[in-house]
Amino acid sequence: MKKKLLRFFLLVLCLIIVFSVSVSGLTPSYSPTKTYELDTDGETINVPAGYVQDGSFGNSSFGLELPIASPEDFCFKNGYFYILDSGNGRVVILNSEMKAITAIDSVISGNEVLNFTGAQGLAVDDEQNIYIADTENYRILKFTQSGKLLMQIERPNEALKGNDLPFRVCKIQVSNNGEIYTTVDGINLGIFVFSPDGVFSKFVGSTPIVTTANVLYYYALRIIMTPEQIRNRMQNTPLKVHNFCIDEERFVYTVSQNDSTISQSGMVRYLNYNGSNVLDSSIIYGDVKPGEDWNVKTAFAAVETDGNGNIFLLDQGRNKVFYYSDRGKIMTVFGSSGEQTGTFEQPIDILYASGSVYVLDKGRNAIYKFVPTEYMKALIKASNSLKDRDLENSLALWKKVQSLNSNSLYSYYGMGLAYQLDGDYLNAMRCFKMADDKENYSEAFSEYRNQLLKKYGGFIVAGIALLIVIIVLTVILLKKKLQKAKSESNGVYSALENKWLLPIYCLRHPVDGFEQFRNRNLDFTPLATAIVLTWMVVAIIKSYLTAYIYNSVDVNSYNPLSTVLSTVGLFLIFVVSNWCIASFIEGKGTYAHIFCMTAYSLIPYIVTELICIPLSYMLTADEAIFITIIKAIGIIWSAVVIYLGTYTIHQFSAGKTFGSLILTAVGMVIILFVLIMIYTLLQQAFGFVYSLYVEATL
Amino acid sequence: MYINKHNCVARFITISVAFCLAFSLLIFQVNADVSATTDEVFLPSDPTYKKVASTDKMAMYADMENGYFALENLNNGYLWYSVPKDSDSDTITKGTVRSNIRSQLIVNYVDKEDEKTAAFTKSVNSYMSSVENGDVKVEEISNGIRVTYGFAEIDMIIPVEYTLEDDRFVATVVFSEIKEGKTSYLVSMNILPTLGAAATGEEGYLFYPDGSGALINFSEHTSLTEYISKKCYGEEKAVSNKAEKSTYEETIKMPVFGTVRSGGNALLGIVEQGDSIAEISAYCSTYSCGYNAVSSAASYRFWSEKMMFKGVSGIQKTLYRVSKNHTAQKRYSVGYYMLDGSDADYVGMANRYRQYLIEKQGLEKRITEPTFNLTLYGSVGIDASFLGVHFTRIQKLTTYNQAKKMVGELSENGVDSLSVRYIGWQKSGITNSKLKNAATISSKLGGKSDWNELSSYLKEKGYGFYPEVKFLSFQQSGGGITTRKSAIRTMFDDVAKQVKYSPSVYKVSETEKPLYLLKYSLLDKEMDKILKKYEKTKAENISVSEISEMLYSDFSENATYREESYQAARSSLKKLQNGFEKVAIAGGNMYAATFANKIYDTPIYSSGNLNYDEDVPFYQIALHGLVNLATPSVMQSQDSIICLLKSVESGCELQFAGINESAIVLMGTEYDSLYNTAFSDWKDYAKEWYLAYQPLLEKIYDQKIVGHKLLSHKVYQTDYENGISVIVNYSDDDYAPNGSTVCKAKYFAEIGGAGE
Repeated sequence: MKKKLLRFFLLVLCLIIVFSVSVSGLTPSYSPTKTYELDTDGETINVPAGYVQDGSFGNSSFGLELPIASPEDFCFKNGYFYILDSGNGRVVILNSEMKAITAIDSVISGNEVLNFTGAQGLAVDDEQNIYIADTENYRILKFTQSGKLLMQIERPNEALKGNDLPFRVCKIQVSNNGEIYTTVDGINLGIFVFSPDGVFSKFVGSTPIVTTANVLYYYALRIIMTPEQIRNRMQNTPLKVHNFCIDEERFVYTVSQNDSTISQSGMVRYLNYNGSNVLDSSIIYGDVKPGEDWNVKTAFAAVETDGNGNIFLLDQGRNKVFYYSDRGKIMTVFGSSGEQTGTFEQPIDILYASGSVYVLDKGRNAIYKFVPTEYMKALIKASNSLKDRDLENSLALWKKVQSLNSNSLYSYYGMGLAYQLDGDYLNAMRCFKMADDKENYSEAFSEYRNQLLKKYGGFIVAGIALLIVIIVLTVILLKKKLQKAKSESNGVYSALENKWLLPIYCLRHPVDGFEQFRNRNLDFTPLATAIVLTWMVVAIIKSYLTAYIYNSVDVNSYNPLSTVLSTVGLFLIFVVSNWCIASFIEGKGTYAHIFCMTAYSLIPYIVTELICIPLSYMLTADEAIFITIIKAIGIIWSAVVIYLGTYTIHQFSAGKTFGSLILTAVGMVIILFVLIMIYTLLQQAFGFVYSLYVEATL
Repeated sequence: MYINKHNCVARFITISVAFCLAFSLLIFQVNADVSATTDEVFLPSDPTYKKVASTDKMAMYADMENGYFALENLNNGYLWYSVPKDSDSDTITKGTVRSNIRSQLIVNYVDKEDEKTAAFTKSVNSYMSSVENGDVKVEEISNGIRVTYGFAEIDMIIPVEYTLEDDRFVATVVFSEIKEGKTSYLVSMNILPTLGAAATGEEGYLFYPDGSGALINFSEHTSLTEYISKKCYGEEKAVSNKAEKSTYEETIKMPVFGTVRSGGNALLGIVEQGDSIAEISAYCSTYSCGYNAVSSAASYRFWSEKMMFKGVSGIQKTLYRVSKNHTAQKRYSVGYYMLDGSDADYVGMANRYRQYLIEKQGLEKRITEPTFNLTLYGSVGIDASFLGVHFTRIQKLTTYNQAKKMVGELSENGVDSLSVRYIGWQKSGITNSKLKNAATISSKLGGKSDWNELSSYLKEKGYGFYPEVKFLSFQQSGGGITTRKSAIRTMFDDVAKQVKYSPSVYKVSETEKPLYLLKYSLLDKEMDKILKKYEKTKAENISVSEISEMLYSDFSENATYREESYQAARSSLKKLQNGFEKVAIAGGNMYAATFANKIYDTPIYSSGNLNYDEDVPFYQIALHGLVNLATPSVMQSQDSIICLLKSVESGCELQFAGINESAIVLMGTEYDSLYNTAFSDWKDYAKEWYLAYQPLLEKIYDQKIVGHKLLSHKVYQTDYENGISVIVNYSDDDYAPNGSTVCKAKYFAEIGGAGE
């Protein structure tokens, strides 16, 4: 009797423990990381936490006799969680309090009992039937909650002709019309789609390969190598879809893991009915850090949509979750590796259910629940208003977001769109500039320019006309003055006599000009030096003054030294190289000649660069062609003058001139190489000595 | 057949009765009051145990051969064992942990011959080295025993005294009598790691003092690591930078820990001597550890690492070092207090700790009327460049005049009880550029006249004014302080730069300037200089950060170890206490709290280690009613509503930090984390909360917290000694236990007390 009483007490104790665990869901815990978002250069920006952990459910909360081991997949349907407990070959069903209510470890088919240990995929349809991608047994199982087999799909041999790989099914999803989507390990033809009755119907979306020089190179190899050799060299097959999810419209989001044969934007895709990607391919997902490999560690393991077109990406590489809007704007990042709340050991799948995010951690055999903070709720609301084109509220909602986080780039983008819809283009431009969105800025600017043209069109036309008249008059006046000077000096006066004006003459009559210049030693080094320095100054002010649309320089981190090197430095290397080459192949020009000739011929280039600065304020991004044309004129003019100048001052033949210029370029590369080598060697030597010193003084 | 059926019915009844009982227990939350019968053998009758000491509160029985002992609570006869006595039948714990669990002393050391290459400290424990080899000497001393543990493999001898004193049990390691081996360095030792240990599945919890305080249940955790250990008062700063850092932790602010077991018994441990070199450690239930126990460890020497040739593959290498001198601390002692009945929970422990602080640490009741705390940021120095020339641009955030206007606006709107903490009012802004300017009035923010106007305005209104000064950190040399000579150094003689890390790729951020920390040995002198400048502000009060939140060593030639820094910090705080009418501190390590009138940024979270099951406001319970407490700035916390509710839950004052400018001016700078501080954005929100909360706060601010419990999922109740209770509801649903709403969702409610 005493023993029984003791047992009774023990039972009570056990129950108390079980219940006390269920009660302590606690306040949402803090996030142990510094929460951030990324700007367009991949630099981090501090932002408030978006999602914080609000519950951790491990084996002690599931209350199972046999603990879960190495779960591979989970899903949520009608208030129940289904976990694929791969290690034990069963499906565990949890109620909304995360207590296990049942576990299905065998499927009965007639007299046979099927087992699915090692399965990697799980799906549940609206009738609560369970689908298992039974990886190790090469089949898909569909069964009821009582474990009765309804359907078994085997390898669709018809569709896989000429391919002898086994049907190792991995991930599985059931769309809202009952179609079964699955990926197969090793077979990279895309996602297999089966009709609701288990008949193979089609493939969806194979990962595109990189269409870069890399691929062209291998195409070239194909001509000279046997197929076997090529296969040994590379596997140019489309990469497998690592994981995917299907939205209400039966579009498919896929993620693939990093590989050299896949383009950056191919990591995440959103496939329409035709299987083509409808996401903006310029968006790079995950952590990007300039100057480093773009995503060394990023490895997306799963994707989930929130029903509004925004997606959650689970990065197994850095144990993070990224939340992107439907327009590819980063909304928040959470998670980390570590030993604290909000960290993951080996996250494998992610779910979104009624506002909360659930992450399945295979390493810790646990499910973690995350809930949005006040800030995130505001951001989601604003984001949705944009989607619904709810202009009236959008602006206010975005302002609310900004009051909680003045750094949110998405909010400036959203606000920009709202202003633009409202016709307030100047504010739209301001917002797009804050969001660093040149494309939309340019559009808003275009509208704004139209407004200005409509308003002040007359004045502007008049102003331009006035400017033209002034220029024409000045030219006529100057010409008259010149002619007068000419007639006064009995016609011997020419622009050539004036060393200040010689460069101008040379630009218009290069051969004649440089000929005179060489014969009569009219080189004027101070002027040439001034021209080169002007080039440098123009290049520097260009970085500061070019309009936002055309300016890719970050003024805060701008270092003019690089500009100096790429103008004056380049110029000097050219001159030295040309001089050396000329002395080898018997060019007649002296160093001073080469110096002045090169400087003079740069003038068209410098002038067009200068013209483009004010022009950049008047043109939109779509009109960049005008700037390109003007710049091209400058470059071609300068190139022609350099060519003819070299031809003239060295007295080469046409062919020799061309050859000498190519040799000059080669010479420049060699000089650069030597300079860089000396620099690096010195740096390394210094570093080594310093390290030795440090170690010696320890 | 009949019997079977009968059994079934009986089982059914038993189970349903059990269910009902469990439910009722759950509702009444009397977890601690379950009078579970113990099946424990009364050990003192064990022939090997001998009664060696007793007071009127407890008795001590010792195994005179092996040094094990048991402590009896004379109130109720409950026994606390120095190691778990049923560890033989434990099937979960494996490996080294299994023998560690049975030890009274775990010693970490480094062999001298591989000092430079040893990536981990090695450890020996008293069970394997001393007990199994018969290398334990137990002597009786006055009211206790002295156990000398021999560790033959490293040739070390460590004497520990276990005695009963007044109302407590004290374990003391006599550092001066430690015999360190010739071949190895003693790095640290964990004392009584499993005193009062509980097996997985038992009822009760550990209290771990991380941040505000955390509880660890005796159930299996999802964590894969069973052992936690953290330094008291924060990790060491005089170390080489790590290559990567991804997560951030709260620090331990109180050298206190505890175990609560079934039947209303609790054991509270307080590090009484040597808290500056203490670590708090815990074993927790995981898949590979079957016990839960919390204890403390003492660092004898400091051990550090440094990466050489960082990032150069092939020759990248990590060097290790042990400090040449051991700690100057003479004794390391931990006092253990027994609590029983209704005191045997974390609230009881916090109250016992509070009593300790009052009796032994000289903490007095200095609380004054509660106020709304307006924290203002003056200016920041932003790194800018033009044409490649770098310079620091001062960005104004709140000028002295604007500060006055903001205060005026709040007070006109009904926020009539207010105090102002002003950060970054100095010449170089929030971060000290040069230490000599740490208290120089900024002409950019309005100069002396505007300053005087502000301070006289506040005085006239009767509002507290706390200009904040940082005495330790700086960015540049200047005024006799150089980064080379005055900043702390690591054991590798490098200047210990305090760097920031990229939150995305975790590497050291190259764009942000590092900070240097002043050696504590220079603090006294430098503080005098800075205070001389501070005199010009004519402020009666001062707010101090850094000294109150950072304790670190310096390993340069004339090294200052942690325990010396601890003394320096305390004496400088004492000086401030004498020199000013009121001293506010930020962060609030316990050594500083005893000198403070007001503590800003009291911790509201723990670090959320995977082994923790619950955060509790232990810190606030211990200090409530003695010192004015304010939680961290609401807008700067991760979720403003949680921060507000945490303030209410722990009876703290509200703190809102703000700037007058729009936070957009900080975009793209290293201060962009002030993204939501614009005053105009939050002033109405702040006013609303102030008006709702202040009347309640005025009733409870000087009251002791006598109860704190979880009522329901995410609903907490805090009880004050005057009978007022406050319910705080963090959940998204109203709290309506009997159908009628007691507390609205994400809000609080006052119940009971004289007012109702």
